[in-house]
Amino acid sequence: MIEIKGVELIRAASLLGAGICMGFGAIGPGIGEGFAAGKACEGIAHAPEHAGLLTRTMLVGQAVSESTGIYSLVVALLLIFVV
Amino acid sequence: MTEGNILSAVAYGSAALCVGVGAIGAGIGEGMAAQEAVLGSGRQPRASSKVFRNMLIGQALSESAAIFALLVALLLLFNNASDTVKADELWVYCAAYLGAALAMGMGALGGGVGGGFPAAAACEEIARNEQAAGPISTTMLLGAAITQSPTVFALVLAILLIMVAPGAGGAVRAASLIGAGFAMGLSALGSGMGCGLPAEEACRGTSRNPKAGGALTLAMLLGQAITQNAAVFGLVVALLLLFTESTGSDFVTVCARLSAGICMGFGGLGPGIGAGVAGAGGCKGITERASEAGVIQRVMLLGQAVSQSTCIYAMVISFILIFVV
Repeated sequence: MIEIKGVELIRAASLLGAGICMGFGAIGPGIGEGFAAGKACEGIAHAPEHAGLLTRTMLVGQAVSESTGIYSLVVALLLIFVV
Repeated sequence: MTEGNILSAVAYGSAALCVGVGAIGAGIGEGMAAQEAVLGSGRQPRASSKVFRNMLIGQALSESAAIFALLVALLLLFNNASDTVKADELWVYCAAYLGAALAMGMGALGGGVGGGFPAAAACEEIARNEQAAGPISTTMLLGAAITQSPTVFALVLAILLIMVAPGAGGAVRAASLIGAGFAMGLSALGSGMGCGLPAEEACRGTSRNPKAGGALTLAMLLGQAITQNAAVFGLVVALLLLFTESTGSDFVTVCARLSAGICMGFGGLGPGIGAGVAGAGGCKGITERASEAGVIQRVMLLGQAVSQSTCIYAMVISFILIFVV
């Protein structure tokens, strides 16, 4: 059997946590930003003259929805390199 | 209890997991196609022979995902190494079989459901617009075939895991192989489901706006290609886990390898589905206004690229967990 020290256990748990954090954190923004992009395309089909406005709105919306993905990235990096 | 007994038990359990999970997708996907075919034939009995033929073709494509899972399960049942395994190889073999089952089972789940979306849409549209049956079937075939490619990636990885990867090694090697299964399986699940969505809308569009045909097929192919990205990243991380140096039994490294696989797997799941939703929106827009196909396609690609960003974050974290830690 492998002998596990307390320090190793903490390190191992933080690495496992980093993976779970980034993995699950990526699901939401990934799906959500897809909805924004899909609806933007449909919107441009309805009103092609507003294509610029719709694209801008889509990007801003996606950037906001991206924020939770970036939180996950930051927490994962903290778990790997700082904790 | 000998090593052979333990490995047999794990191989049989893995086979059950593989085909059990893998069959869910084809069951759902083919059911959707059958539902639309029944509804369509009821509304439009004259078109029923064309609808029926289209349903069978679509179901066959969706079925292929489940057949891949069956193939891997049969390999696990009848081609496992339980007669020859040595004591120091046992846990690596167990991990390889479990990883193969995870990759193929979840990969087939995605491909099966994804293949059902275009099949169902094509059946519905052929009943509505019998004259366009030819182009609709062609679009469905193309879209559903591409939807299967994440499942093919999963099949390749599962066969590598069963045939090539195992050997003597410690806990780090075992964790790497299970991690590879997670990375490939979950990302193929997302990409497979996602790829079905643009194909579904392209089938509808081919029927409703025949003039948009060329632009629609191009948008579908581009949308599906970006959606496959997640599965490609999953495959890359899985192959890295398979073929990078992994010796010893250090507990921290074991967790890092497992974590890398879980991270890329779930990280590919969301962006895979999201890029598919965006692709479907693009195809829907082009159906509605084919004259603006260029702008719509550009916005679709931009939106898909942004929705892939979290997938790239997940890949970066996986690389750090594999190479830096």
